Amino acid sequence: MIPTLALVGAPNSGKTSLFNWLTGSKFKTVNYPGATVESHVGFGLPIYGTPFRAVDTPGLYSLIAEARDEHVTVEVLSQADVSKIILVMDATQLERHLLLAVQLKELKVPFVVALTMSDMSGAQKVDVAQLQKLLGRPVVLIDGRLGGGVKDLVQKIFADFESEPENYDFKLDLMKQDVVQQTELARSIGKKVYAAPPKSLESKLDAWFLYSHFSLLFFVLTMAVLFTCVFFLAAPFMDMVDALFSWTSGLALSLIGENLFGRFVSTGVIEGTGAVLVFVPQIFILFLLLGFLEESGYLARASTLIDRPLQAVGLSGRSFVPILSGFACAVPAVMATRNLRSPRERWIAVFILPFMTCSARLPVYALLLAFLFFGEPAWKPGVTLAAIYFASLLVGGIAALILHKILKSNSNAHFMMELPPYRWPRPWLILRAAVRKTFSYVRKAGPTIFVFVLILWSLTHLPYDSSLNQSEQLASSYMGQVGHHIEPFFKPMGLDWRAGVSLGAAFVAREVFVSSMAVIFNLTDVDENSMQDRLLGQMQQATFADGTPIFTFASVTAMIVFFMLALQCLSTTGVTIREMGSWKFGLIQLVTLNVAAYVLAVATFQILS
Amino acid sequence: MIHLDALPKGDSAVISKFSGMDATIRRLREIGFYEGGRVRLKAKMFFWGPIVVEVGALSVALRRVEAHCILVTKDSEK
Repeated sequence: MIPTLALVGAPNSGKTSLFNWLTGSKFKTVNYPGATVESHVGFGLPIYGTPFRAVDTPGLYSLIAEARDEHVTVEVLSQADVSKIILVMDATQLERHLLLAVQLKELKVPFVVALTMSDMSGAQKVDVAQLQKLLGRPVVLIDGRLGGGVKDLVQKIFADFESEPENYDFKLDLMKQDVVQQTELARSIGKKVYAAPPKSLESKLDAWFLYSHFSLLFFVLTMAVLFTCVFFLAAPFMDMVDALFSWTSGLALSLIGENLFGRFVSTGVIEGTGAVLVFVPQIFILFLLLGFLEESGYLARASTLIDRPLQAVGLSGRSFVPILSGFACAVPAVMATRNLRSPRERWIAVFILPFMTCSARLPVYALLLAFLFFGEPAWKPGVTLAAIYFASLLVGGIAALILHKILKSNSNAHFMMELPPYRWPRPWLILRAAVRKTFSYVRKAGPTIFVFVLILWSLTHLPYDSSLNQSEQLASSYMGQVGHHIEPFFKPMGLDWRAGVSLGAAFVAREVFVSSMAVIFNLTDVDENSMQDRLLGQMQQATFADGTPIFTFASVTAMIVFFMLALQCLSTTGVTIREMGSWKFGLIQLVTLNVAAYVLAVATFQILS
Repeated sequence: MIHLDALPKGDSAVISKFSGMDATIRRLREIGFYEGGRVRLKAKMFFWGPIVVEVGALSVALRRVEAHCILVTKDSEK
């Protein structure tokens, strides 16, 4: 019979990565407590020489427990076919992880300790020989990231197989000591083998960064720097990506020629790829900074500071960073919600993220506010823009509150946050994680976004007629035809089919609204600087068939309301579908937000006109 | 026996038992609270924010409603 090894250990002790090293299994190593809910079984890789089975169990701190998941572990250990237990302990968390060792020792079951190192410097401080002596069991150091020590561990396990009986009795009632005595014993062992780093520095830093009034100031400053970097630092890189793809697109068009295939390759495929890659700088910078804050230990403190106000709307301190990032761009922000532990909280956070005033809305607001405050002092549109920013946060808060009230709350957002020790971030690690997350965006969300962009391209470019100019082409496209037919749909908002088609085209990215308006008003061959003025002039003159002006205070304000609420961004929907793993969620959000935007925009127009 | 959120700042205690929703208790166990474990209340955040508790060698921030699920025996009561 093939011997079975059971892996036991506290949550986040490195159990799952050891399991992966042993079995080569494709089970994902999830990096938060409680990731393993069921037990996983795999077969040992041939490189270890001896055939064996390995069982991964849910993490636990103590064998004496009532919670459901932890019973799975006790059940696995009680099974007759488990021949040996591998107890996984994290060297940096030894004090908490030793309780299991004490309990297993008392039960007199055969186990080997795998001491994992989440942090090399921490592991070096553990007196392995002393630990081995006090526990009376073999202890092997394991490098969870590189797999060092795993072979040694397997050898140790099978080396003393002969000296021990293959079967053992696992009965919890054999324990004589109660858990309080066991904890004391674990503590005393911990003190003998591990010199805990002095906590005075941590306490001093916490006094500044967590408990004092200065902590709030520091929080605001840190978040301002984070936002500034995601918003402004990424901008030149995004422009570079944009310029590169415009150039390639132009090149492709001139090489292939002005025909349907040329248009498809240049404005469809190449610019569609650009639409995916344009978010890369923001995503990379956001995750670089988040990694830095997380590694330094500050992110946990920041979440603790801001938890209270967010609790009121069903969110927690962890949601703050995604929401803040949403003011730059919802795409990286949706990805940043990966840090949220509670599925319900993540649901609410992702749902409200598109309300935040992202950078793609700025060119649209610039145009519409310039129209509203034509010839008036510059502070007026400035103040209005600030009000729009604030209002978007308010709308997000209200929406979260509504969701918080209507969603079943059997899994309320928890806020339990380990406050790790402060330490200098390791740049290499952060860089690698940021690169990995950026690639995962390109690989996972990229294809979905690309397909959406191509669909929209087909709607705005087909059927193709080479005799038409760009403006006529857009007007006669499927989008244009539909726009003509559903003008009655835009009429209650005070808009004609041209503005309606531009709103439709803006689903590829909100700022496309401006260029689309320019195309449809036939302003293609003017330089960018004078374009806004020319477009404003055209908008002022535009009328319905009966001669009444289209763009008025009421209709433009209605459009601003529409842009504030609508989820007019297929990239966001694409990344949301991938991140939430649910088409349903993405589509419900897309429909809900746009219907709400339409209804409120209509109401705004009807009240104001 | 008192609820953890009622423990005065700076005081230590031993966890006696848990009471509350299963999901909350499970999360508390996952993060490292267990019967017999030692805790010390390090700080209470302003505006009724979370409290910071030392459990073993680790600091944990948790909401007062969650801390309320943990019943502790103060060292002086033993």
